[in-house]
Formats: sequence, C-alpha cells, structure tokens
Amino acid sequence: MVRESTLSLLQYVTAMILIIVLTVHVLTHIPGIMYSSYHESLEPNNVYRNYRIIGGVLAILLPVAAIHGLNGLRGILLELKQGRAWELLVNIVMVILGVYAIGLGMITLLRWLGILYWVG
Amino acid sequence: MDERKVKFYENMLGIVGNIIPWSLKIPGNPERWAFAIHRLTGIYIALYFLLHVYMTSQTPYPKAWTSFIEFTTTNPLIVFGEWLLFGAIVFHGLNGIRLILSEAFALGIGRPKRPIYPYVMGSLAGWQRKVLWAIIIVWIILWVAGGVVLFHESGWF
Amino acid sequence: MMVETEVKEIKVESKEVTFRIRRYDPETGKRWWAEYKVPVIRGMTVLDALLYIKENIDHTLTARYSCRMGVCGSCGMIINGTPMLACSIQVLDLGTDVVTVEPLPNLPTLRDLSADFTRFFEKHKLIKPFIIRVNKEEYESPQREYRMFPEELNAIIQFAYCLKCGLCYAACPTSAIDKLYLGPQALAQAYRWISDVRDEGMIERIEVVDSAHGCWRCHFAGSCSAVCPKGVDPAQGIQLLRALALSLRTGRSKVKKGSPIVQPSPATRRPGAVEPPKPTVNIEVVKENLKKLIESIEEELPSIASALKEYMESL
Repeated sequence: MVRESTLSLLQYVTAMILIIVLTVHVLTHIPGIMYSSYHESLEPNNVYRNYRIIGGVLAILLPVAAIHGLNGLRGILLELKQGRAWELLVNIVMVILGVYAIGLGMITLLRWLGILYWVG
Repeated sequence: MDERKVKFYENMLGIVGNIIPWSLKIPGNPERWAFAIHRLTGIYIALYFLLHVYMTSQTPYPKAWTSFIEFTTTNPLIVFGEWLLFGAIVFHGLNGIRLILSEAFALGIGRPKRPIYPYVMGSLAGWQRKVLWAIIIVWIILWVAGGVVLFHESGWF
Repeated sequence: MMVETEVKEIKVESKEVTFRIRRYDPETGKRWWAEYKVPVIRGMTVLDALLYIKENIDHTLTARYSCRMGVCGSCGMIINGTPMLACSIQVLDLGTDVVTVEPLPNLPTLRDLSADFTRFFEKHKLIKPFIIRVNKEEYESPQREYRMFPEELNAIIQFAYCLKCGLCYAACPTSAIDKLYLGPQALAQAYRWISDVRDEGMIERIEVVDSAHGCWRCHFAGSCSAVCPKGVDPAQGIQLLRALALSLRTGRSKVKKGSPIVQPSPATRRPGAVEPPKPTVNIEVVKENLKKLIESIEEELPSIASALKEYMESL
C-alpha cells in the first residue's frame, strides 16, 4: 500500500498544478479575456477553438483534477468511518472512479481534437 | 464483590462536530470556519467534476452540444448552482494556497518559543491569519462580480 | 485571660446563578439535564460552584479535579459551549445567568462530568514519549548526561508545558468523527520528542505519525490551539511535524544524530559572586561533638550514625 505521506505529497503537488491550469480553464470562459460574454464562450465553435488552443492544458487538468478531487474525497470518507473493509472499499471505489473519469475525459478530449470520432 | 454492569457513553460529536463550526463555541478561531468551507466546497467541486466529465462526453459537437448549453444557461437552478460553483472554486483555490504555505512549508505559523502568560498562540497569531482575511475579501469581491456577470447574462436583471 | 473584641459583620454580595449540568448514570445509561441554583460570590470558579453543589445540594454529582489552580489538567469540561478548565474560569466572568456544564466530547463519558482518558493516553503512548537513543549503553546504565544547552531547551519547552488535559482533543474536528485519529496532543508531543536534541528516534515516530490516521488527517482548523490553557499551540507542532515528514519523504532533510554524552561540568563559582563569610565556629569542636553524638546513637540508629560519620569526614 502507498504510504500516506506520498498521497499527501501528491495532494499538495496536484494542488499547485491545479491552481495554474484550472485558472487558465476558467479564464477562457470569463468575458473580456477571449470572448465578450460567458454564453459566447460556450458556443460550439468557440469551445472547439478552446480545445485547439489550450488542449494541452486541458489534458494536464484532467488527471490532476481527478487525482486531487478523489484523493480528497478518500480522506474525508476515511475519517467518517474506520475499519479494514471500509478502507479497502473506499480505495477501490476511488481508483475505479479515477480510471473512469480520466478515461472518459481523455476520450472526449481526443474527440474534440478530431483524433477520435464522435459516436451518435 | 458484585460486578455492576456499567456502560460508558460514547460522546463523539460526529459529523455535526466536524463540519459545523458553531457546534463548539471557540472564540478567536476563524481557521475552523475556513476548514469547514474548504471541506464543503471541495466535496461540491469534486462531485461537479465527475458530473462535468460525464456531461461533456455525452454532448457531441455540434447539435447535442447546442441544446445542452441552451438547457444549462436557462434553467435557474443550474445557473444558481454554477454561481455557487464559481464561489466554491475561488475560495477552495485561494485557501488551498494558504494551506500549502502553512501545512507543507510551515510558513506563517511562527516557531516554538517559551510561553509567557497571557499566552499568544504562534500559529494563530502568525501571518497566515492575515492571509485568511485577504482571501475572504478577494473571495467576496470575485464571487459577487461573478454573480453579476452570470445573472445578467442569464437575463435575471 | 479572654479579650473581648467587636467583630464587624462583613456583607458578601452573592448572585444566584443557575447551573445546567449534563448528568449521566452509567448503570442505567440515562442522560439528563439537571439544574442547580448556586449563590456565587466574586472570585468563585466553576469548580468551586460544582463542589458547592456536591456538598450542599446533590452529593451524587461527579467531576474530576485535583490541583484547583490550572496545572494538573484534571477538570477539563465544556462550560457554556467552550472547552475549558473548570478551575481556571470564574463564574461571574462568564457573564451569563445560566451556566451550562457538559463533559468533554470525543472521549467516552464515565459518569456525569468525568471522561475516560484511556484512549487519549494510549495514543500518547503510541508516539513513544521518551528519549530514544541508538546506543543503549548510556541509556540503560547512566553515568553521565546528554548535552542540552538552554537555547536548545527553548525549542521544546512550549510543547513540554502540555498538561494532557484533553481540551485540544475535545475541540478537534477530526477527533469528532475519527476514533483512530492520534489527536492534537499526541501529534504535538511526537514533534516535541522528535525535535529534542537528545533524541534519535525520528524514524520510529515518523512511522507512527505518517499513517492513515496520523498527522495527515489534520486540516489546520486551529481549534486545538484556541482552547489550550497552557500556550502549548499543538496546531503549530502538527504543521511543523507535517513539514518535517514531507521534507524527509522528498529527501530534503536527513535524520539527525542525538546530542553527545558529556560529563556534567563541575560547579564553578560565578565570576563576581560574593564570597561566603568565614566560619566563626571552631571546626575541631564541631567534630568532637559530632563524634560523641555518633558514638551515642551507633547502636540504636546505625543508618543515621553512618550518615553523620560521612558528614564529619567531609568537614
């Protein structure tokens, strides 16, 4: 099992990375920076442009946000209840959710970038 | 010697004691409020993140995307939830910076010294508390500004 | 001979304060609020009021107390919603007409206002609250001392003031839900022993503290420091401990060696100290008298006679 200080170090490192990449992601939707209004930034052409311009940033944002968020949820759930069975359950569920979120997100990213095709 | 059956009362404060800052009256402790809001915003953002990843995968460009955006920008509950999310992200990020400085690098919490009455706690009197006040001011300003932009664009005023 | 004096009657103003106390009977498992009216005078502490209730109103009221002056840590309880030592707060300083007293939370309540500290002390023992040295020779048969300068003491004395009163443990939000969490007291004491210059047990204690319910479950709510009655500042200790654990994990700092074993320096006269006055007693006469005393008590009190003999030889 991973040492707790490794997970906490991961939490701090992902937090520092997130501050930068999440700010970039949110700034692309704030009026006055790239587009003149919030609703304009949500139009499909502009979203496509966003993916083209900051696709790399989004590719970093996805796993980092997933790790930070699910690690945090794991900490909260382990404080709420103690016991070997619960710990194992929480760890497995977080890993599954992480794989699911990162996998699904990556597929969406690649579809918007045109590398994969949309289904339906 | 008769064995009397005694039951201890497990006096845990529970989730209420954890997340509700006023469950114990402790004066001079705004960090407890920062912790509670940091935890609640963290849970909110994490759950939103999972929903966000799912939603963006189910709405391919261009047709389904357009109808999805039309729905989310007009439904008042979702618009309000987005405003709460914006405030949550701003507070969680700013407080996170303060926590990285004070927890991972032990900055702003003073160093051990000989306690002399009346006791002044180094961690509560250090500059991490000034950073907390600055964070709250910036958070309120950004949150209100975000609300103005969001609600104006959604046609609420 | 009797002297008649007139004693002036001194009127002491007292205010009637209602005490709402959380009672618990361990044999029936019943919990209830009991109200008592206590005449409070200026200077009376909450502990004085509780003892007044026990002596005059209800003998079954149970509370722990010992020193009554804020140095033993026995009387920790929740007074008007705040964890405090009952002996260290005056009733009139609280400013309310109704004073609510409850036992410390997050620890099992034994009876009325007493909490069971077994869990608390077990966690304290887990972090090994003693000097650990790699070389056990001096440790097991001490001949000399481990060197510690006064400036090095300043690094740990703040944490050494801990009374183990349990107020920090009661105030901590993580302790409210996590029974396995070590708690602010144990973690601050872990830092106290790690940062002691004489100690070489950093790795062992970091292993205990760097666990699923160790220092990483602290979130710097700071309530422990806000309620500590002795200025220990456990929150500072825990954050310093986390920074140390992280820097050990990333390889930025290394395990330190303990301070060397030194011979205690012989007592030397402080420069400029006043010389003692010359003895005015004839030392030979003193020795004669002592010899006579030793001979007279040799049979009945041999131990005292041998001690006196040693003293006589040192003169």
